[in-house]
Amino acid sequence: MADTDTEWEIRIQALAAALPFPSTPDIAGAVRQKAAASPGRVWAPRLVWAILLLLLAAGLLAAPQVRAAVLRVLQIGAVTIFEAESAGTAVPPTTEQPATTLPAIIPTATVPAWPTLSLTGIATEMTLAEAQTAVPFPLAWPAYPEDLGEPDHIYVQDPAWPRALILAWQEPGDPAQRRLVLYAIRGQDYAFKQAEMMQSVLVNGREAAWVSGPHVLYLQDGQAQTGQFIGGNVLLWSTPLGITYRLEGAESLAEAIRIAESLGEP
Amino acid sequence: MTSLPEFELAGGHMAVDADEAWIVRARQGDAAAWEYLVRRYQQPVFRLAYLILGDAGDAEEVAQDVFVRAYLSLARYDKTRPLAPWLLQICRNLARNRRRSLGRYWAAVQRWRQANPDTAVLPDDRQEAQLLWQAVKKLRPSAQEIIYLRYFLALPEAETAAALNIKAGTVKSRLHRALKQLQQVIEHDFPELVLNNG
Repeated sequence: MADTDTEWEIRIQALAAALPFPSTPDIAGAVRQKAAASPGRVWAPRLVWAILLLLLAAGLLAAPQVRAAVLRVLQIGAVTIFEAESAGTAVPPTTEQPATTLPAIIPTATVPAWPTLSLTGIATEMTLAEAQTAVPFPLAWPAYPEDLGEPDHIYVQDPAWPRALILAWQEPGDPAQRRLVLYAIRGQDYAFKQAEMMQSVLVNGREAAWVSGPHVLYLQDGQAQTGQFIGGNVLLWSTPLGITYRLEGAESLAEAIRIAESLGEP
Repeated sequence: MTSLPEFELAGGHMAVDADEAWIVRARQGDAAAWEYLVRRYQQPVFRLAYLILGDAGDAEEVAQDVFVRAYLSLARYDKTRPLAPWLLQICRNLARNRRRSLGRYWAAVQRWRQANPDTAVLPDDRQEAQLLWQAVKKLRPSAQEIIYLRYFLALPEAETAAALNIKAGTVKSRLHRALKQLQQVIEHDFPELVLNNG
């Protein structure tokens, strides 16, 4: 090899050696847990959340007239939100028909008053004590509204490798209706949303997002998909400890921020 | 548990004999033996996944899957061969599959990330290293991977060849071509790396 080639190679070697890698996580511990929980099964729960939440966006983005209409991308903790100019009327693809037919995206004027989310099949319900030991981050809930109290239901997604904690409160006197749902997500790049209307706001002085347009939330376990229509009004924020929260059910942005800030910063 | 040595990346050698004993024990169901091997090689596996995917969280999940798959295939593995190149082969395949499965979305997010880079201030040599990485990412995947293995993970030629499942002589020629292509990318898109040379 010519001298200049050798010098070039030496230069590349020196530069490459200086790359700051992230700290190597405890792979061995996680592998031990996974192997014990589901021998022979290899999956990537976080990745399929990301793919499926974005299925709609990817489908829409494939259409030339929509590709140019992605106006903004906002990163809130573990959630990336793509704001599109027009959601169109595309029906997202599915590999397995869910129990209820997925509706096409509909204009805001006809959005149901209350976003619904069925947690059946995507997460394991637990007691408070079980959840506190299952998730590797502090379990907390809002202090506002004053009558909120402890959640009526607590779910942990994928107990073998917990990434999301879901707290749900029922409407007083109507167990079929959910009053509030709070997701606590640990990690990065957990989920993606595509929404019509997204507003950048502040929670505890940190950047947050208020999604007021309709969107579809896709969850997957293995080969099965479950699509859920979310009417909107979702607040997303993150904390310095790396926990991302997603709140559904607040009636207004001001209400949502007040609930979020009553959580403190665990 | 006693402290376990991490795999030495710089000038690392393949301790074949030591690995063989641990593989035999792991095959017999000794969980601690397998955990020893995981801890020994988790760093290069994680780092290769990180280089290919560009995200620590994705890399962590891929690395976990690498070792789960390797364990499930351990009975068929030739224990006389070094373990590291085999693990890195699995890592390459899984990382590539993940990147490919995200398809158009992956490209969009990567473009967005590059337009919104982490603004943390790094020392000059680390900044240059980051620029080098960005330059390498503009090459074909096969050129990227040989550069990652040979220079970013500092594997000797023989281990690089084994990880890529090619002959040792082929490593030299592929590397030469990859470096030429990298030089063109740097001269065109990252002139600051050329200006800072010597």
